[in-house]
Amino acid sequence: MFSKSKRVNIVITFVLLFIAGIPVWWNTTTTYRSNVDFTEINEYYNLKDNITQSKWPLFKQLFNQVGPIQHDIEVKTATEYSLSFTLLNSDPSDIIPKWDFPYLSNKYIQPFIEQISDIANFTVQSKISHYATLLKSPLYDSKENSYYIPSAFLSEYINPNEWQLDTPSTNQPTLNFIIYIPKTTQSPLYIRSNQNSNSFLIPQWGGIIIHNVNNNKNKNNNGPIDLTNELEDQMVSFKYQLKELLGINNENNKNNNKNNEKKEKKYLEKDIILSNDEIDSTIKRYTAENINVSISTLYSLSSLIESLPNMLVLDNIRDQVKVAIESLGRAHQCLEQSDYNCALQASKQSLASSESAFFDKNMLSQLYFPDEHKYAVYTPLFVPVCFPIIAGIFQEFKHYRNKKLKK
Amino acid sequence: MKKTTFRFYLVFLYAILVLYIGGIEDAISNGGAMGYEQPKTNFYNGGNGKADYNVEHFFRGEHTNNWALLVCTSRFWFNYRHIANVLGFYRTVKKLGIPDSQIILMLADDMACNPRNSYAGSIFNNENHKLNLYGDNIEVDYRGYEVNVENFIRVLTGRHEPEVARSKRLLTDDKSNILIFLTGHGGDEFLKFQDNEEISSHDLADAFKQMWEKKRYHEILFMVDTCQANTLYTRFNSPNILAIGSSKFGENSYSHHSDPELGVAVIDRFTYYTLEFFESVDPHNVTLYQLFNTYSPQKLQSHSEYRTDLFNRPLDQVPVTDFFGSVMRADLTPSTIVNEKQKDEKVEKDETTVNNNNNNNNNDNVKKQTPKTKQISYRITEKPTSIQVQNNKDSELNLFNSKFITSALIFLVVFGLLSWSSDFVKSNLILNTNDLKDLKSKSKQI
Repeated sequence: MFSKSKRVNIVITFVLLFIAGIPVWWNTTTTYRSNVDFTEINEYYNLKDNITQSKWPLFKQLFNQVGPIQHDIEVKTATEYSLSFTLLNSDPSDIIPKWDFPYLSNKYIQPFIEQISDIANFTVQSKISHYATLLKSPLYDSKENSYYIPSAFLSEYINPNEWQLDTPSTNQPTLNFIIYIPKTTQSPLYIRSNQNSNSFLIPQWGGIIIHNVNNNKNKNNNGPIDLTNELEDQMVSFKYQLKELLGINNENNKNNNKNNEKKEKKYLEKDIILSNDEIDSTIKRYTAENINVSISTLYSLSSLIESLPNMLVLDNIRDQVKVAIESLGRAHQCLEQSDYNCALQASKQSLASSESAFFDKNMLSQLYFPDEHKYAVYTPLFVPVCFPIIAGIFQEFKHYRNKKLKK
Repeated sequence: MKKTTFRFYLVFLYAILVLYIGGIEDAISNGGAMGYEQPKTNFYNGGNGKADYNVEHFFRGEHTNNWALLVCTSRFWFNYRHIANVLGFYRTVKKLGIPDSQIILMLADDMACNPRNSYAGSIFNNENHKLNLYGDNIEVDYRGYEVNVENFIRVLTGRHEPEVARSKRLLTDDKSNILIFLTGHGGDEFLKFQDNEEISSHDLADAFKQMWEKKRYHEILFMVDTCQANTLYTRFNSPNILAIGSSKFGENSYSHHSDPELGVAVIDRFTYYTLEFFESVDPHNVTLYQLFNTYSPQKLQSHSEYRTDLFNRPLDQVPVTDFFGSVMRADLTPSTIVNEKQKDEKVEKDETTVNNNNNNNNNDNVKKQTPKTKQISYRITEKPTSIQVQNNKDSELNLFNSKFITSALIFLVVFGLLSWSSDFVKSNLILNTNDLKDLKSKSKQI
């Protein structure tokens, strides 16, 4: 009697241990995935054609107003930009330039930034750099006693990547504005083209201006030369380039194409101050783009989480997605009231939340671990454990039958 | 006794069969669900594709910037050639115009400072030692044990910790062409990282899928120089990816030659003929089709295959500088100066500018006092918008708490069971002593 009950208790204990161990194993090996709510984003994407049935119908109207957004020259849309101004000298033995950049910035760049401060935050910095060289030596024109670079081959002569323009360690989009001063042996230096211009724009990167220093001053002064006055016109060119890079000048391009000569005369006066129409259209464009990128980011995140079942999804992802969707809702409310500044602020917050959710450091999918590998790993663990349990049960069943036979 | 042992073996085999049959069925169903088709691969065809016109000028792509991700995954001295491969690509890519800020260089070991290197501080990829690849102007972004699978996937997907430097990030956008070159030891659909880890073609396909979802590239050229390299790109299914490997399934990739003074091989064949191509031809005037056709089986002693079904453009219209170089586009800005037609006004304005300069000199005297106290660098910063989101630490603590509570409860249950069973056993032992007494009494009676 007692020996029988003892063996039964041992077998039952083993079985209970095994059953209790399975939840521990399951909790320690499964990846944690919080429930992220993407129903609104998925509904919006599925109901793209039906405007009235979707939750945010005014977004499509806003997209139609702004028109197709193309990034040909314009820099990528962001909530922060870094503007870097560089006075680049090719030969310090000839000229040592200097400039009063705070004065120039306060006079020309700062009013521009204040007008568009709603769009993004701007960081302005400047420096002076020496020993910048061209890839090739420019061509000489004996008639005009000057040097020139053909505009079609600018990329073969000037490569700003060769100039070591060290930017600070930020992740913001950086726009570089360079004033290049050529050597005295290669000056005056011009860009030969139909437009009679000495400055050019590099798409999504910045602008470069070639500035020829007056030779008369060199003879008089041996020390550093103050170029603050000479560079005031160049700051206007930088402002124009900044408008192009931020995409503010799109509507005026048509007018400029028609009346190039007339506009150039009045260039200084008109472009110092932005018109209200330009600011409003820019705010609408940035709002539309922020909303569009936010929605596509959230949709990408939704499909990503569904397609990768082994990816770790923490609770902060759920919270950030919630904030992004709430911000989109708030932006839509602002659009209902025709308050575009409010819509822009909400869209910026939505963009920031969706981007940080997508690029979270913990959103790293577990390395490829298919089911074949799982069975190969776990079979050597579970089979030796199951064997004594099954053998014990079999033995007890055998004893039970023997007792019945004896009776 | 024999029957009992036989029955034990039967039970054991039955348990194994149950588990394996379940596993095999799941594997078959998953395999069927995958439904993967074999990719279209173009084998080597001897072609004479000479272009008389400027290829770069006519067929340039729509991208605006170029990035390069060059990875060497091997450590140890006898893998000298893998680091030389990557540094050779690094030199070529820099020469063609990609700046250091847009090159991410991952070197798993430092051969230049290896004590076995008889040429300290130098790395060569040719036995004639004409070119020192490890010069003064190299920026290694990931070195040593930083080169692992996790960091590689973080670079591709952009999911870094906030304190990671800008130079270690792939800050690409939807207008970026990326050249990805991997070299090391590999096998069927995997590539080893430092003899510790391996990345599989599934991991790469997942990473590229995430990049495409977030528009982190315009086009990718994926090059692999390793054993069985062509199997590494079979799982790709994101668009705009062009992939080429140095050897097909079951083949090895071989080194080109060894250096008798160093004692090790200094370069692989695939990389050798790639760099030789760039040295012998004007890179601005050739296409990828011409580059890919130089990889003959006689040269490589293996079969190089490339995959174009995910790529939009035909290869004979893709300049090599679309991936290996960086050609700047320049748009002229309208000038603020008067046109040449009004030359007379120029003279007048020159005089007026001189007068203005004289007038401004007085103003400069006033202004010069203030900038002396100020620094040259001048910053205008605005506070970023605050985002009210929980911190990662709080969520991680919550996660830890939930797991901790569940495991603690389970532990208590198990502990209770154990204590209960031990008490029961003790009671049985006490009864056993009574049995002994009975036996003694019986013996006395006898």
